[in-house]
Amino acid sequence: MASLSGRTGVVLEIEDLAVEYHSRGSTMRVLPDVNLTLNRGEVVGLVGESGSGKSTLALSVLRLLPANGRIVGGRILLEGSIDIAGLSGEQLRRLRGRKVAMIFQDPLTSLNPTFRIGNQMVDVQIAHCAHRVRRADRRQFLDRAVSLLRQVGLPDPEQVVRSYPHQLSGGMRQRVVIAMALSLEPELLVADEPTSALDVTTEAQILALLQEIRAGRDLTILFVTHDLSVVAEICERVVVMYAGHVMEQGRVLDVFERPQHPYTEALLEAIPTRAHRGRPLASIPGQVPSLLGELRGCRFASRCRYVQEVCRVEDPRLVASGLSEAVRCHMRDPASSFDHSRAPAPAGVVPPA
Amino acid sequence: MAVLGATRPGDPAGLIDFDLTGPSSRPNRRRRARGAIGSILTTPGGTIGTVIVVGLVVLAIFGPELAPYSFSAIDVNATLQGPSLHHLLGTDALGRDILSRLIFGTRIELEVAVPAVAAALGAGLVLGMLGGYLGGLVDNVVVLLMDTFQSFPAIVLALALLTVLGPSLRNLIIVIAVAFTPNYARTSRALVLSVKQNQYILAERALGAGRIRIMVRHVLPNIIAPLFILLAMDTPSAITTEAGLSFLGLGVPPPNPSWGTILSEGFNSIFQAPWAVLFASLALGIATIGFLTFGEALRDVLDPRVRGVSRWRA
Repeated sequence: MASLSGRTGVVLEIEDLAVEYHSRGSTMRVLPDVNLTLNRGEVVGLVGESGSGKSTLALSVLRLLPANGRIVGGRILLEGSIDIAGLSGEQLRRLRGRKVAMIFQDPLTSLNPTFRIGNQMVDVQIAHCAHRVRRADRRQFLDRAVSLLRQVGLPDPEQVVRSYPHQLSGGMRQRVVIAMALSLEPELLVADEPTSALDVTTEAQILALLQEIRAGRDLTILFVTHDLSVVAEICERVVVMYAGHVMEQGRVLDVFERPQHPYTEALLEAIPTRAHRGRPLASIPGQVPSLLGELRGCRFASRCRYVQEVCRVEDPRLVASGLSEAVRCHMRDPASSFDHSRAPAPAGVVPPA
Repeated sequence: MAVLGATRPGDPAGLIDFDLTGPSSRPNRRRRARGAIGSILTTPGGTIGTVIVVGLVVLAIFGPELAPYSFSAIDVNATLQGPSLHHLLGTDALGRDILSRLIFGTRIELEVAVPAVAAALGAGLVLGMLGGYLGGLVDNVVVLLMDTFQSFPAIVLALALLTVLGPSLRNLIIVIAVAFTPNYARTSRALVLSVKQNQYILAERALGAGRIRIMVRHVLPNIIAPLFILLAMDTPSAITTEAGLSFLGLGVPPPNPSWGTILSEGFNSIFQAPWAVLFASLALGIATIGFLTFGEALRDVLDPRVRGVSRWRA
């Protein structure tokens, strides 16, 4: 599985990925057809509310879907050559950690409570060791664990290595988790809300750490979150998901400055600012539609402020609009029968050319 | 200091046992072992349990040296006697010293019960972990198999098997192990199902750990502690099962003094001399309490989460 690609170019390419969940006879198509490209060294934010499919997408990249989930179509190309969707169990095992690593939401439960940190970190390296592990190897793995812990900014790593997880704080544990994920030098790191369970100060530290690591190792990061301010902080590109669809994607500055999709716009408006002091918090009325059964039209139609008949009937296409790379909205699609004369121009948004 | 809690000045014993450090780790490991026994002895239950279990083991090993008489020494002039200075716990219908017979019996009990429950734990663990972690067809087969075994009362199952295999010490162990296996398989399966949900299992998979590695290295240590208490609880019930089978004549053949044999023989003369039944039951009761409390204390020590708490308190 030698990498032939250079240090630039596409690391991950998701093509028409479709994922279904089965439960008691019914089938839910959680991701209908997702397309996504990650370039080497960039941090891509994947945002959306609960049930938007962002975690499912993240888990699909490592084929870690729960037992009732299945990839039913599409490809997940790693470095242009390996299709993760088609790998066998053992190929997959060897790829996980070495090519793609993942860190999870809750650092308090991401570490085995019965293991000392050092043993746990050594174990990961043993799992990927091709030959029989000798005592000298263990020694070397342990040294590597210590040096990784130092790299993620843990003071006194020799002591941490001897600790049980319950003896460390949440922020320290997340640093350990990051160190473990880095231990096999992966190309891609999938981070599923890695800071949601941490307090704001610790979150800022972990974000700074991730950025530092990204810069130092040319690591590509897929960062799943529901916090737009975190995206603004560390991501170059952002992908906004809603009910399994990519609604908008583009460079963070462009998308946040001039959102092209009504959903992105509503999300950005929902961020409390000081200008809103004393007023009730903004929210998007309604809820994510159920994915059970056949869905017609735009999935955001029931909550959209610009909705027209066409939105409820026809599926919107993904089109480039404004500065965004792709937007899934009739309003932005010149070929759509959307009636612009009836819709108020969104504030601060340039009408499509 | 990077580590919160758990260390006291001058006593980092619980932390310095990282067993990858080569030859120098040996004293550390020994220190941890001493620490574990030390923490068992900090609670009253642990102390009582340890004393009883250690006492039983000592009796089992040194029984012949400690017993005042031989277990088969018949004294026709002193049958069915109550406790006296000559016979501390009295004598049975053949004038044999009950104390001596109970002491000799300890060895038989432990010889049967401990290997039996250990084998049951081993077999049950393997079945339960495979079923619980792999799920699907494997799980269905394991559950069906265990349900089938459990649909018979343990003693009936043991009886049927013993009739087929024929009574001997080895077969007795096998039969008791088979009868107790479903218990462990079910418990470990249930524990695996809950441990499997933990995020660290997913995190390990995400880092490329295989099924066997996850089962052995990550699931097993997290389910073993509750199984230890089950092991301790089952040791006395294995003893009673043995006693029951001996009572029915399928246990250890006489004149070997298993506690069950002493009980059943004592039953014939319970109205004239209740001593045999009384003291054999008492031995059984003490052994039960001892193993139970020892098991609980052992669990507290083996679980690092609980261990951290208790040391913090101490």
